Amino acid sequence: MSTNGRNPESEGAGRTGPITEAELLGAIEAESPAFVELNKQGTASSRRIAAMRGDRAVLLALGGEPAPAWLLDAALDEAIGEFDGETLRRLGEGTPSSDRLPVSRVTPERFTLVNWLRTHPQRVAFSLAAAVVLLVGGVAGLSLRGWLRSTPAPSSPIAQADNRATPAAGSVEIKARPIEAASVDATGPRVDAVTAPEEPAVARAAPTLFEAAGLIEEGRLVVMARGGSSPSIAPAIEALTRHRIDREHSWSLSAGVPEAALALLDLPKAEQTALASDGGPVAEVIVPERSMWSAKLHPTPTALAALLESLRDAGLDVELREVDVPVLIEPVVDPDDVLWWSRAPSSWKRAAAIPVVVETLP
Amino acid sequence: MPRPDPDILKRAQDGDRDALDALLRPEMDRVYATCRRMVGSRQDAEELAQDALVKVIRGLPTYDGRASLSTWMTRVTINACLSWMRSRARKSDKRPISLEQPDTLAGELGTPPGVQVEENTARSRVERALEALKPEHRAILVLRDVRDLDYEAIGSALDMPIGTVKSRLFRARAALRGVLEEDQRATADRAEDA
Repeated sequence: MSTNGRNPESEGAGRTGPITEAELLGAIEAESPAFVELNKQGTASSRRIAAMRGDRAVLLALGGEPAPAWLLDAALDEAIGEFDGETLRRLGEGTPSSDRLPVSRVTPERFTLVNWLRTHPQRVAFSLAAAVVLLVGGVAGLSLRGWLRSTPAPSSPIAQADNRATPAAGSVEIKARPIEAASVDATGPRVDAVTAPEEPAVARAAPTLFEAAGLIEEGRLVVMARGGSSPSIAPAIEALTRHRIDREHSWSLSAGVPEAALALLDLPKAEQTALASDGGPVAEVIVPERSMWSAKLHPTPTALAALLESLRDAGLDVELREVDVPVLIEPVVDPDDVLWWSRAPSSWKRAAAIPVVVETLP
Repeated sequence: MPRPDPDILKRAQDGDRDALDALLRPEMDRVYATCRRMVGSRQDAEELAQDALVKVIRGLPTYDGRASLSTWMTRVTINACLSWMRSRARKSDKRPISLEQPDTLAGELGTPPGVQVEENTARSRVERALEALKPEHRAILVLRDVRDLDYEAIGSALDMPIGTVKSRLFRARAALRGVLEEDQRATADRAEDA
């Protein structure tokens, strides 16, 4: 009913004064019964109101599609992943206000070197002394670094693994471990699965989506994907190669990685699974099939998360891996790349390509 | 929507990830739906929704509980959308959105137009017309018709009195109708020329 003080009984018949926008809105949204009669009159205004009511019905029926499952996690990674200077300062004082990092950012005071030198003249001498110390220290550090590099590399595989920050990429031995008598089930011998020995504990933690986006630009990110049998996984992966980057997709996948890039990747040998029988030789060694793919995407956490989700939907377990040596792969050029200026500003940044290593069982 | 649990809210404002997840996950779909209808492209909507959620997380310590959490988050989301759209408008030329509709598709296929085809056509025409509106008109239509908020909630989200909400909402509906009528005239002209 009308809330503007006028008698709704008199509206639409012999009314005086112009109709307000609020009243017309009420007619469109069917909140004002007084205008039901107006809609029946068949005038241009009434037809327009009916059409606008139809437009509203269409909008109401649009509904909302669900958000991607990774959306909130990506936002939390981005927001919580930043250190807060206030907490670090309070930790220095001994007693932080909270045992959790606050999410608000403290903007430090603006500092200018000129003002600092101008206000404290005696610090000029200190600055010069600090510069001399830095210079001497830098030269000494460079010399020491050059001396360390000139020393011969150790020959043992274990020492080589320790010298590298990435997990060891040396050979992996598969040994059939005989089952001890005490562990044998009384009902009979059993077949035990023996896997490769664990890699040395020098593996770094997987980067977050936010960190991984930065690694994409540097060419230091690899996606490792492992799945079940190749015949079941292959069609799903092929399906992922059928689209380009467009309004609906923030990434694209193509087969193959350049040989030069492959050599730089320095991938560990694929983990092998050995089936050993009780006390006997290795019954079967299953060597995973490895295929190389190249994913083209804009270096953003959202595009990377969308790629990972699609790989998971294809039945693969995915893992992000940081490598030390940059592997710069030239992305496949699409016709859309020429028309980059016609896309939204979020897509103007040049797309990069990262290697995707897929291991499946034959 | 009921107020959030005070303990969860406090822990979320302190940066506890589990508390933030419990607090924000029920709102995630609404944030994304708002962004999806504001910017159109799914890829842009995903990036914009993430940006809005990051702003919500960073600004959560300033949330004082006077408005509901959903209304407060709607305000942050709409502001993020409007900022993004203004930035895009400054950087790129705004090409007229073509409302080419497959009204003749049924004829090309040799089948008479069915109800389903007509409904899909009307839906896509209205969606495209929505994208052609000014950001302020688009925002208020999304909040009223897509999010189904009442006038008070819209006024709280957009920080304007209810009277202004009604006035702007009516003008937004009129603008949407104008875009659709213009397209119908253009379609009729092309049909005559053909």
